[in-house]
Amino acid sequence: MTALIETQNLTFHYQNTEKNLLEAVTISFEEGTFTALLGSNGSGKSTLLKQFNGLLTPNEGAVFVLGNKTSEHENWLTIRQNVGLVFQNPENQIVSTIVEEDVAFALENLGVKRETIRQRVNEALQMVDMYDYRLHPPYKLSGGQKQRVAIASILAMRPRCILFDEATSMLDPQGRAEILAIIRRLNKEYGVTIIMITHLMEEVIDADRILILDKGTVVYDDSPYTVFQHVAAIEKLGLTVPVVTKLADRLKQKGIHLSEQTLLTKEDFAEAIKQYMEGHHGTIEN
Amino acid sequence: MALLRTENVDFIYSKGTPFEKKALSHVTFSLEKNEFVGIVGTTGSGKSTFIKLLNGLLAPKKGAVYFNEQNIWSKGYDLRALRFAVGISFQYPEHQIFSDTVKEDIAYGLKNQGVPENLWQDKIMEVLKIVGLDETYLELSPFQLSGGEIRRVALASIMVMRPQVLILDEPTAGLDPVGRDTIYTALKQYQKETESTILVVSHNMDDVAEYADSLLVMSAGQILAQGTPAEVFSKTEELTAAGLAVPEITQLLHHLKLSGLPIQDSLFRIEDAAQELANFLNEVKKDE
Ligand SMILES: Nc1ncnc2c1ncn2[C@@H]1O[C@H](COP(=O)(O)OP(=O)(O)OP(=O)(O)O)[C@@H](O)[C@H]1O
Ligand SMILES: Nc1ncnc2c1ncn2[C@@H]1O[C@H](COP(=O)(O)OP(=O)(O)O)[C@@H](O)[C@H]1O
Ligand SMILES: [Mg+2]
Ligand SMILES: [Mg+2]
Repeated sequence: MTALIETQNLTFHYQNTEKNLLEAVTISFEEGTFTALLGSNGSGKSTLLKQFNGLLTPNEGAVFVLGNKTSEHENWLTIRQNVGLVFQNPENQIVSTIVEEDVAFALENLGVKRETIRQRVNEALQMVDMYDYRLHPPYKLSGGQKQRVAIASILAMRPRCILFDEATSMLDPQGRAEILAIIRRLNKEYGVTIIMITHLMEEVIDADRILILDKGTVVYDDSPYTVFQHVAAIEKLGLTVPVVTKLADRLKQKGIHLSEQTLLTKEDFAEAIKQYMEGHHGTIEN
Repeated sequence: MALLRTENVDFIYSKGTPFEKKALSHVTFSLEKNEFVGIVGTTGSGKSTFIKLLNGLLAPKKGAVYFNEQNIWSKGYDLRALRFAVGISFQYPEHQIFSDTVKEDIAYGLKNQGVPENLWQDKIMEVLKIVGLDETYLELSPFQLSGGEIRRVALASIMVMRPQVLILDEPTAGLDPVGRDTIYTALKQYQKETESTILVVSHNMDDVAEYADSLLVMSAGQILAQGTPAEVFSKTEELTAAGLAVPEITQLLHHLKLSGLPIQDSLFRIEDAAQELANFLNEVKKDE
């Protein structure tokens, strides 16, 4: 089975600098998976993500999207249609003067039929809870609302993979929860492959896979439960672990060892406490 | 005496056009010297609009803004001096970056303030440290920085001017977790040393809970609640209804309480939560 995205010895530096920002990165992403990409500021996350839809191309090595090499010009349309990218800053992503036109823009550009456009635009706007704003001028929206429009514009293309570069970082808690729910739904129900950069560890708990980048190389590539075992090492990389994991770690320092397993969710934690209490109760009864 | 306050301010965008939008109504708020205040609120609740009123970037349609008890819109008021006294670091740092090098960008405000050039270097090095960058960044172009690095430069550019009131709109969006802690710890330190006043707008409840002395909750252009983090975060239902959330750790304690543990659930610092749980679990052990 061909991977949806695959890199081989991907090495990259920007034109104006000598230093390699990505160093022989070889990874692949299977269709339908949900990956979180973590790393400290400047570790190379955005640079790597832009390689996945050909916005940047390697100096050495290669990147393939559905078997199409990103450095070959004739593959660009296929690649862009299949892999959408949502940026951090909503301000730079909006091109039109009416919300629904903005969402329709890429489709119109590709010559899609009017009826199809209408249907897809409405559906995309509903998915991000911005349908009521479809006739508003985007400049009037505040940051979070613009970001939802940007996501809708990508959704309207019905891509097989969406890359999110800190797409939730400007949103309020509810907006963030909504977007995350949308991201999960796209992945679980529609099988859209997700690769998501974030600095918020709570957002990555239910990812299939966590990649951690440090100075342009992949230093962790594993499930959240495995990666977040390494509390001290993770903190050394400029990162942290989810609050639940941190609390369990603090309790351990106080001599209370809740569980051998890494705890990530509230439910994990509640269950571990229950078992801990039963365990102690048990020893007395015996 | 309040250092900076608003009295019953209203703000309307595009007044008199079909796109008229009331962004603030009847906002009365006051900031005391040396306070560290967090502003939280949903997207569009008026936070960014509000802080622009505080240094005169926007003028209220109704009500008044006072700095040191002087109405900043009174005739002959020196608005330029106000902008040096009340510095804002914006939500989208790209908008405040325009020089060729990081160094020029940070020095820009110093130049405007008329600070002698021989003092720049020390001041620049000092703020670089606060934002967690080293001197190798000084000669780089801001346009070749990563998101988090730009954010740090934008913060440094404002802090270097040493405003009496430092207003930061989403200062840690895009920063890595250690960067977040570094900046807040440094801000606290800076606040103490310079007796400055800090106002932080943030969507990150965990950050404001940890660092702010008091919180202002905005909703639909109005003040919904005001108080210490403990007071504000004890109102889980009201906050949730306003589209906000209590900090992660509070959510966890709340969840545990609902599942039957007799613990206090309005804590929001990880150390406090660990202590509360340790006390409880040690009690359980003792009882047996
Ligand atoms: N256009 C550019 N030219 C030269 N160097 C660049 C350019 N863009 C980024 N860099 C440098 O490459 C490194 C990696 O940048 P990148 O944007 O990939 O980081 P990141 O991991 O996404 O960081 P953040 O968490 O801050 O967004 C940074 O040190 C940055 O200064
Ligand atoms: N330049 C503008 N023109 C018209 N309306 C605006 C403008 N900026 C903000 N608004 C509107 O004012 C309200 C408050 O926005 P803002 O202060 O940016 O909120 P927040 O910072 O809390 O997200 C929102 O409804 C927003 O759409
Ligand atoms: Mg980035
Ligand atoms: Mg804002």
